[in-house]
Amino acid sequence: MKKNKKIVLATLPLAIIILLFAFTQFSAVSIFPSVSAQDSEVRVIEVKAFQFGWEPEIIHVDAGEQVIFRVEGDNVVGHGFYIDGRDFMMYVPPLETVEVGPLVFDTPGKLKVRCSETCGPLHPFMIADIIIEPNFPFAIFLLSALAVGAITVVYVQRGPKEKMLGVPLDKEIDLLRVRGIGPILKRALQWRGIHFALIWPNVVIFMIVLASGFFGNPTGNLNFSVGVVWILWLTAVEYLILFAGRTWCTICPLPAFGEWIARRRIYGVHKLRKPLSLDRKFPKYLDNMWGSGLGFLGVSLVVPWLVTRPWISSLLFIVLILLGVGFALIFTRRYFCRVICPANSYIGYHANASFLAVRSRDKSICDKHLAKECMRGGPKGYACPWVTPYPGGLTESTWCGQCYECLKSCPLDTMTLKYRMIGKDIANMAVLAKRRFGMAWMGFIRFNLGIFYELVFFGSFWALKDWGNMGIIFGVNVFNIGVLTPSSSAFMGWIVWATIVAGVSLFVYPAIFYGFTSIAKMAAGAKNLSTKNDVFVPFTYALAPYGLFIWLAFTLNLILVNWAYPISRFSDPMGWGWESSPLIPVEGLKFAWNPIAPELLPYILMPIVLIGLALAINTTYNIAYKLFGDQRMAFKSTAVMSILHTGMGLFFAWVIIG
Amino acid sequence: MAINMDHFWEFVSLILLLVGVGFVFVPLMDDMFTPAEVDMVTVHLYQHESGGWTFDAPPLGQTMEHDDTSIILKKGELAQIFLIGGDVVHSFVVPDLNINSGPISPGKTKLIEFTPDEAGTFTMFCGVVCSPEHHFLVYKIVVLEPDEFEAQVGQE
Repeated sequence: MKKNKKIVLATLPLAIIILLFAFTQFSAVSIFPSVSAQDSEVRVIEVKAFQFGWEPEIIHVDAGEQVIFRVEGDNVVGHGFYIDGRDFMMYVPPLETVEVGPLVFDTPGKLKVRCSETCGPLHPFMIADIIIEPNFPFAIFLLSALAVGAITVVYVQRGPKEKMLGVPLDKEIDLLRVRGIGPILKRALQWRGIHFALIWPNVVIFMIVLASGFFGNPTGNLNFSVGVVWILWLTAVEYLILFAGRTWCTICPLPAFGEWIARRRIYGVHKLRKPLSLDRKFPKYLDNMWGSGLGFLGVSLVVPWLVTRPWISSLLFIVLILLGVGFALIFTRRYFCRVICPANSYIGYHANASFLAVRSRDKSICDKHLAKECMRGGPKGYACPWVTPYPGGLTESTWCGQCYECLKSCPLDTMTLKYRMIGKDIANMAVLAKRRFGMAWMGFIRFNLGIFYELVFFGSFWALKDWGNMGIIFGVNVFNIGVLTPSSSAFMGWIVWATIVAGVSLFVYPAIFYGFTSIAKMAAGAKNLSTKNDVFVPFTYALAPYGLFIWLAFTLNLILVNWAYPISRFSDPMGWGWESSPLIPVEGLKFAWNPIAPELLPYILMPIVLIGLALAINTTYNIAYKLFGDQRMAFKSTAVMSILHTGMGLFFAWVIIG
Repeated sequence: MAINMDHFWEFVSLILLLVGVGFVFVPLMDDMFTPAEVDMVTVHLYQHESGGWTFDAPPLGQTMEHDDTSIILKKGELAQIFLIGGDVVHSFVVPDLNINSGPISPGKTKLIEFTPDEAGTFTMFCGVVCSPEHHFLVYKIVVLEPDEFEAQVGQE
């Protein structure tokens, strides 16, 4: 009986949200009956298109109102006028004005005007908002965020022990012992060639990325390097993190070249002890999350250039690959991945919120086994290249790159892949990590940038984009690097952008978070603990699942709108028009740009973020319980922290529909 | 001594790796995908800031001079000009020959066919404002008398 009650409680938030969303979709018209077409006047809305935005950036219309858009063309380049969910894509020639309409918007909410004609590097982000009044879906989004926050708090008030949203955390599936797929997976992962077999296709793709980035079409969305990396790869990695941990690091080609050189082997295990490298010890004070975390932030400062200019992306990859080889030649093991790679920071951080992890079946066996091949290497596998201190006793996924060397080297067959509930190890890990500020700030950077990118790239504030982009309207490949010379005023704009990006994620949000943790500590009445040394960093680990789900939402938006760009690039990587040319014998994947369900996007994204919110509150509770050892204290501090987490959920609701 | 299988697989991996790298660079650097023996001039339309229009000319038939980027055509013979949209929307206009391709979106293509019946030098340019330096996108079409044309192409 009690169990049934819990199931009801656990599914209640989801049920409420589904009901609320259904309400917005189906009953909108009946509640606010639209004025019939005959007796309403047609309103003309003047819209100006330019690189890269629309003026006005936010258009308010009433539900049921008849609207004609008079779209004034750019004086520099042609654009396209597209509204979410409508079946037209109107070409707007430069210096001309095009009329679209009359259109009637029945469902209240928020739609986007998007550019449908490639107009330059930031073309995919040339967006304006249409807010259809009365915008009550926004209110419902706010209410649903509040409801999810409140219900999760009520849920943790009942004191669920070792559980995450009703799922017991000690329940694990040993993937290598699952009937059917288990033995096959085990043989594959213990095969020495698996590493190379998985990396080889990525080496090929990587070479195409480099070639097209340097020599291909200068406009980003027409180029393989940008389309495939910053749309397809970015999305794939986020979903891989959720379902398969650091699987991207298994198949990443960047450090592989250096590793192969240092090992003097691509396939096998080198019998000699000495690798082909200086084999220096890596300085311990640098061996933390700060390096790659700040690298990620640094990349984010120039992200409008990076993700739209093929040359810049390819340059970054060349630099990373050279650093990878260099680090392998000096330090042998994966210190490049640990401290340099910008992707390591977030993949490692969020891997703790993944369903999948490499773990030992039975730690007591590992402890008793003195040979410790996972640490020292054996005839069948190398010592852990990721320098995790002791793979047999692994409880944290951050530094486990899922290279499966321990599965190969272990003679006792104790290492395995486990599938379990999100956030199983976070609480244990967080309490031990009281001074790991690098990880804490990684959480802040990722969480804030996830929301910020949704706001900037899929929002209507073109000035923000322009600041980050330094006002440059050209795509760049190796032949026209010169166009990337910003004017001094544009550079000042970039300073504003950089200040916002770095300031919010390094100072403002951490300060707010610190304030909340200190109140949470006071509320819990834990007088013997200090906020700075004991409570602050553990509580930030709640951002591991929350940040991941924010990014799942953001990248889903990216792929649903722009899926056609990367897919088409496989038949025309250089963006030279192979796919539509009768001269060239390439059977094209001719996909025109065509967003999937763009009018429903907020309703798809918000539930993802709300799951993240519920996970964040429950994770906070689990951490607080481990930290204070008392259910009431844990609940009180969680209640305080849930205000902040729910607040960010409300903010996200405003970003996507407000 | 038996063959060391480890070394064999090592060798196979290395070969595969080299093939993987070469698989991309060799065809891209080779002109495998450029139309070599087709009797038409291909024009890739790019903004002036990005290097302007580029022309792929076949060895025979219509041809082009590389130094001042002009297409050379033979009077009285069917000319085919194949346009490939580059980075943004452009168009191809030759007023004196009554040619206007209309806007050509990135990735889209269009074949222009006409028979020049008058020798001389004609101006071709981009007819859709495409960038601040749009007005520099001006090139030449040279139509030669058949005997002059044969002499020119023969020299090349």
